[in-house]
Amino acid sequence: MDTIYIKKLLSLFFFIFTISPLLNLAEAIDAQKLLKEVDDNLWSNTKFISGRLIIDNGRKVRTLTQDSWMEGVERSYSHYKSPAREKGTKMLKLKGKLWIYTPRTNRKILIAGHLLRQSMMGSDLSYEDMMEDHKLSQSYIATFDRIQSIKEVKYTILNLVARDKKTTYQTRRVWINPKDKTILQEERFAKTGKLLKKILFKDYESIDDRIFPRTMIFKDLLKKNTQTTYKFDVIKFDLDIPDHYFSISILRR
Amino acid sequence: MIVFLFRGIFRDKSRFLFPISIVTIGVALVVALVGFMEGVFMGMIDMTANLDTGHLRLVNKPFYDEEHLRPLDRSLAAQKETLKWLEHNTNSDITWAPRIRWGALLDVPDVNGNTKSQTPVVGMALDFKSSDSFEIKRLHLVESLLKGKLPLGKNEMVIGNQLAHSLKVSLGQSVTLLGQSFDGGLVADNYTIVGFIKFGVTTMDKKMVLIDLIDAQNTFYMDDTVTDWLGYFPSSFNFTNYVDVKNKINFNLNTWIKTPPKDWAKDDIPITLSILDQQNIGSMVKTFTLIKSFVVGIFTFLMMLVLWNAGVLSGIHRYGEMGLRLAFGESHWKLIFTLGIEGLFIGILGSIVGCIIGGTFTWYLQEIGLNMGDAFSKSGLMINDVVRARLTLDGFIQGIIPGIFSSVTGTLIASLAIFKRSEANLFRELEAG
Amino acid sequence: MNWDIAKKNFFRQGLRASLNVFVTAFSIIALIFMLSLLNGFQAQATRNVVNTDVGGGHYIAPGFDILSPTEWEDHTVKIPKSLSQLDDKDKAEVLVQQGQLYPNRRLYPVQIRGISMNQSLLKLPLDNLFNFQKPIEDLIPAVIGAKMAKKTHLNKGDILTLKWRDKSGAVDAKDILIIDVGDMLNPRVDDGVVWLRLDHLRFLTDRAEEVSWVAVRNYVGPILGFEYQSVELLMADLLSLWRQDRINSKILWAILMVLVCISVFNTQILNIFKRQKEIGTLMALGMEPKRIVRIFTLEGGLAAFWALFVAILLGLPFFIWFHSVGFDVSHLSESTLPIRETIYPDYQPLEIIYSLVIVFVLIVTAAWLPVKKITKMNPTMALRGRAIK
Repeated sequence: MDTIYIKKLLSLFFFIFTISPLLNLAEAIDAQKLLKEVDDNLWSNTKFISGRLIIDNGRKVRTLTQDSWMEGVERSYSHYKSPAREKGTKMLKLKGKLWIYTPRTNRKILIAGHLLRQSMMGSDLSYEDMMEDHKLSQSYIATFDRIQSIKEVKYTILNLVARDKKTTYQTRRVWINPKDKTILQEERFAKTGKLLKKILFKDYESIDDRIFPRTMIFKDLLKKNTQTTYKFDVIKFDLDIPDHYFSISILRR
Repeated sequence: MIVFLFRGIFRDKSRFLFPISIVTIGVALVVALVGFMEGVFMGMIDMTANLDTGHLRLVNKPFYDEEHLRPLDRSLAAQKETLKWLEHNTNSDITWAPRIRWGALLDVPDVNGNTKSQTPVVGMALDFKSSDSFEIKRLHLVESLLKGKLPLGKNEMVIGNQLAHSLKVSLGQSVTLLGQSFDGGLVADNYTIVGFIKFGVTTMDKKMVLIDLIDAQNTFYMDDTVTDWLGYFPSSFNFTNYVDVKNKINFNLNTWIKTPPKDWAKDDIPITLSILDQQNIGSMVKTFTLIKSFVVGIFTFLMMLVLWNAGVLSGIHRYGEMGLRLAFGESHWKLIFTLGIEGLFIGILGSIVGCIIGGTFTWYLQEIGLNMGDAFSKSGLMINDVVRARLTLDGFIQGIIPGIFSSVTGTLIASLAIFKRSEANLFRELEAG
Repeated sequence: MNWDIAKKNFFRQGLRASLNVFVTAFSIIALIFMLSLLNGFQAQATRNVVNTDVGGGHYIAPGFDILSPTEWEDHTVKIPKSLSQLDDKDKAEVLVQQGQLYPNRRLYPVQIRGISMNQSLLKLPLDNLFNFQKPIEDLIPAVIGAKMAKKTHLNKGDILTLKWRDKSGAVDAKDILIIDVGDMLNPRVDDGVVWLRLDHLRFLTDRAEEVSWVAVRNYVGPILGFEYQSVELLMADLLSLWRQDRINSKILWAILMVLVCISVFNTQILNIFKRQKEIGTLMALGMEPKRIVRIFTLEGGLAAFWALFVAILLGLPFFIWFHSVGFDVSHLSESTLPIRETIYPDYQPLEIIYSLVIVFVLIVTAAWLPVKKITKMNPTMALRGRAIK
């Protein structure tokens, strides 16, 4: 009887002894908090980006230049400047809806329903991906997965699970550098766990007290040899954006 | 001697009119039957060829491999140069028609210009506007148009009648095509609906849109680029020769690929396909040829029996004359020989007249057609009730050979009877008849 | 008495009579063969469509249109009790969703079609799907048709990714295992279609008890929230194609009949020409011309009768033999026609009788037309054999 008791006590002691460092670490890393800190670094009230979208469909490489103005997560407006064919194309995201305007048709077209799932301007991103450009900490519940060293930097890997079952990607995984609150890469998964997309964040620079990537690379992993690179040439945070930029009336010549 | 025999035939109505009319009817029937069978068969081939596959099709291999996606980025550039090459390196009797197969979303706006409805459509762009274009006639578009007109102005389209119905659009309405451009970018362009067309096949009536080639090139930014070159032979050209021509073109293409036009992408490999390589038409052709030869075979066999019967009949008709000629000392063999020559004349004459009558009828069916369905219902482009025939050399040959052969054999078989009978007997028959 | 004379005369014609009989008999055989083969072809193709897809009609979710793939997800509904309680042999529940297949990592838009495994209304080669018992955590079992397999270069045992959306719109993807490549017989359920078990598809898309349509054996009356589409509506294209085929066969039929009539007509002309003296004698003896016409027409009719007899004698063994071997059209597998197996002629007794009656009437008419001029014959000239030139 005593021996059994001692054995049980020993195993319990052994269990507490081995597990405690992990418990300590989990306690040390508040996943949700870390994710929020990353969002705080990336997101500002308003933002302006002048950038290039370099689309490689495995056969041809196309570059689009665009200016984008964003306010919070709800409102954004993009204006394409080149190539000549796309010049003047405007995209407006407003209260969960997405409109596109092309000078050629002189019409605003609501991108809704299944059109949202189409590739945006031939890139590896869908219109839906653009619509879901939310703060991760708001849309997902984060849990700590593990720590991984890459090029001598220890990255915290978080698993994200969507709060809403309507969210396109129900799970994501992010590699976060807890020191500077930056993301190294993000993986987007299908509901049942298949890896679908990978996004690499590169060329971090310090801009207005934030550490912001200059390059994002999107890869659709189900397709062969395609990738879309988004280069941010000019980035401005917390600027004043005229209200009419986020009004339907901007969608005209 | 021949002139003598010929005159003899003409002067004796009983020797001339009846046998010739039988041969005539027989040959005319065979010509009409073969023409009709060819018509049904070639009609099926042409229907597919006209809209979809051409008799020959020059296409970029990367496009063909992913045709289900309608990948415009894999189209073939250098349209003008390609046409020049095709004109110099392929048979001069092939007409080449450039086409673009595309797919897009059709967006219908309300009065305020906001999206009212959207639906995916598949489309074909063809040359509607060039003065030398044969496409409108080739596709019988005028006949298939239910309402409105064909696209002649800038950015005009005709759509399937059921599509029009489901979208609740009217003629003259402006709609927007949303799709992907040649290089993968977003494409949006306005079009005016100018006509509703009946294809006769639900899938097409519900989803098909036709626009002009130049408009499509502007819309999808495909300057000097097309997805397909469809080659058409004249209707007299037999499909059995398609493969040879295809192989020859492919052989020439191999040389051309070594010094490609500068606008071609690195992995562009144009290939030529014949209609027999597409949509399993090749196997269907084999089956149909078998059925056709079966039907024509039975018919020709029956025809020969009838003509032979007619030959026997005209021979019997002339027993008396033979008795007289034998009595005058003409030899049996000579008699049979002259009868055979007469049979030949009758066969040839009957065949000529039969070919003219059968040929005219077949030609009428080929050009005008015979509407076997509801006279008031509009013909569909793909399926309609108009029966059409096809005038071919084969039809004439298949009519003439049994026509002449049966006439001669029939006469000869009948004339064999003179061996069995004495001159006196035959002479008595002369008195009687 | 007319009958006796006609019979004797007929048999005395010898070779020419038998020629006529054979021509007519062969025509009848050809005619029945042609009609029955066409019947068989159409019946088999129709049966394939009915057996693999249409059943006895569909109860369709309102607004669902198979030609509008982008709207499939928007038009699925829970199966009502009145349909779910039907026996498994009388209904087949079908759920259709849009999917993206990635053979060789190239996008291929597909129709994911889930069908209940217990149904026995539709006959589809999905046995391996039914027998697959493993959980679907790793791989989803799927069956594709032969045509689809050829297009996508897929084989049995291949594993590839399929992507779809669940009911809420969340994107989902998983590897599927092609557990079978089946002979679908009908391109409509083969081309671009990936077959899954209904329970799997419902689970994966979070659409418990939902259907796009329910195929039923028989119409069971109007059902609230469902639209009934009859077999005729679902097969409209095929039926119009059949109608075109029928028109074509009618023309062939007409040409063949003209031929038979010429043959009979021909013989009758020869008959009266050769037998003028006989006619003259009969007239001189006081027989009414009308009666002579009847006798001659009866002779023609006898030819038709004998032709029928010969047709049965020669045709029956041929038809029986052909029915056992059939006509192989397996090479049509990739065409758009819903047929790929051996065609067997479908002999329809009523149609055959109907055709034979027409043939008979035509022959008798063809036999009567040339002999009716006997009524106008001058007996003396006929006796001398000079009534007809």
